[in-house]
Amino acid sequence: MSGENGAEPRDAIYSQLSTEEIENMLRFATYSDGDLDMEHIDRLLAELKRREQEDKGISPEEALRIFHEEYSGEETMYLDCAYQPKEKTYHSGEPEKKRRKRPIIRAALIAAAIIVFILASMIAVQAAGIDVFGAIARWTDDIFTFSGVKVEGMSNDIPKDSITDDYQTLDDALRAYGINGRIAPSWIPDGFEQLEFEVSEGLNQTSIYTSYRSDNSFLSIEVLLSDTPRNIYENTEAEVQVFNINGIDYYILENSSTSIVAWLGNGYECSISSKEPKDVLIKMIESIHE
Amino acid sequence: MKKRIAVFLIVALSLVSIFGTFSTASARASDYFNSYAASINKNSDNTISVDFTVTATDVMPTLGVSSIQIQKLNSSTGSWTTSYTFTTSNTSGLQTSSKSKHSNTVTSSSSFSAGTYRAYVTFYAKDASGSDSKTYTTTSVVIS
Repeated sequence: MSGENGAEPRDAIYSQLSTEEIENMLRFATYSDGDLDMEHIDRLLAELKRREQEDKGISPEEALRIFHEEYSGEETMYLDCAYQPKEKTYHSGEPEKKRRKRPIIRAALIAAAIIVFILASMIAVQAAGIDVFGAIARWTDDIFTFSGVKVEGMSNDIPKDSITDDYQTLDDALRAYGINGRIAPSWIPDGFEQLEFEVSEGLNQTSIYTSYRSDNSFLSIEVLLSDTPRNIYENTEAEVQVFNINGIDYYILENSSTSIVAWLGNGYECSISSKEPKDVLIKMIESIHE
Repeated sequence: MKKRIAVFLIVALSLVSIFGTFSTASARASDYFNSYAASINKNSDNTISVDFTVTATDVMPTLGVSSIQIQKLNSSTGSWTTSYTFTTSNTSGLQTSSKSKHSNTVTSSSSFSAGTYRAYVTFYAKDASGSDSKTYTTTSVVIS
């Protein structure tokens, strides 16, 4: 299939797709479980290359020729996939001595292309005003955070006139700060006694914190009054579990020796951490809604 | 087959390298820390304050931060250089003892020249078994 000047015309299907769609197709094609469809991947890469060259003012035909020079006509490294190498043509009696790209280099090129496309996609979406890096809850194998976004309803503008020092429970302190509605658990596991209670006011947040001790365990609860979430929670590679109760997402993380439940309750960042089993922590957060 | 494995490894390692760049944690989880946070503020007299809080997995003999570096941006190179450092030897209140949470606000003793600044905070916890530290870099503030 050749065009008027001998160059292959643009693939009609791919030419109708947006660049983003082609990039997504490339990602899916690469991640597929079965054999890699190298012809499909080559066409996607060719279309992307063509568009890149068009942006530089090079004609589509010239872009395709450049792409073929750079990527095609070599023996495929995917010997066990269905891709059929293109027929080679020779310009003289001597076989054309083409530089044979090593398979590992070709794989590196594909990987590099994928990296560029992923980063470009994320940056493009970010530029469009969608904060992909600042999702409400985000985590890696190391840390978990709500930070990066302002949460509607969150505020550190707390009326402090009524604050006294005579409260010793979370509920008393929260009421003193004018916060009504249940945020803290009403149930503490049997055998725990309060060990610490502290209200600390920083420049950008007020922290209300309490801890409990049993014979062989420890637990703590923190409510952070701030206009933005800010804590970085330690986290392992274990799957983060999400429980939704009455519209609030509770994220259960695993730290090395403790479990942590973190959530945004009534606009405030809250967390419980303990060496107790997860079902105990879940029972605690359920008690918030009883 | 070996080639397909090579392709898989390259792609996998590449993706790991991409998403690894979004992490600011210095190590995987902790036996000592549950959470930490810090923020930087400029004051009207061009001094800088840093607010920090850290919670531990249990009561710790020593808990807090070991140092806070105030770093200034070199706009021509894009690199950050330390202009001021809070340490336990020149600043009180960076650490506490026998508690599972510590928070405080520290303010520089001198003012800063015009520029963009950030804080590089090293959180620290120690018990009889050993110690751990985590680093955190705040957003930046501009002093004009």
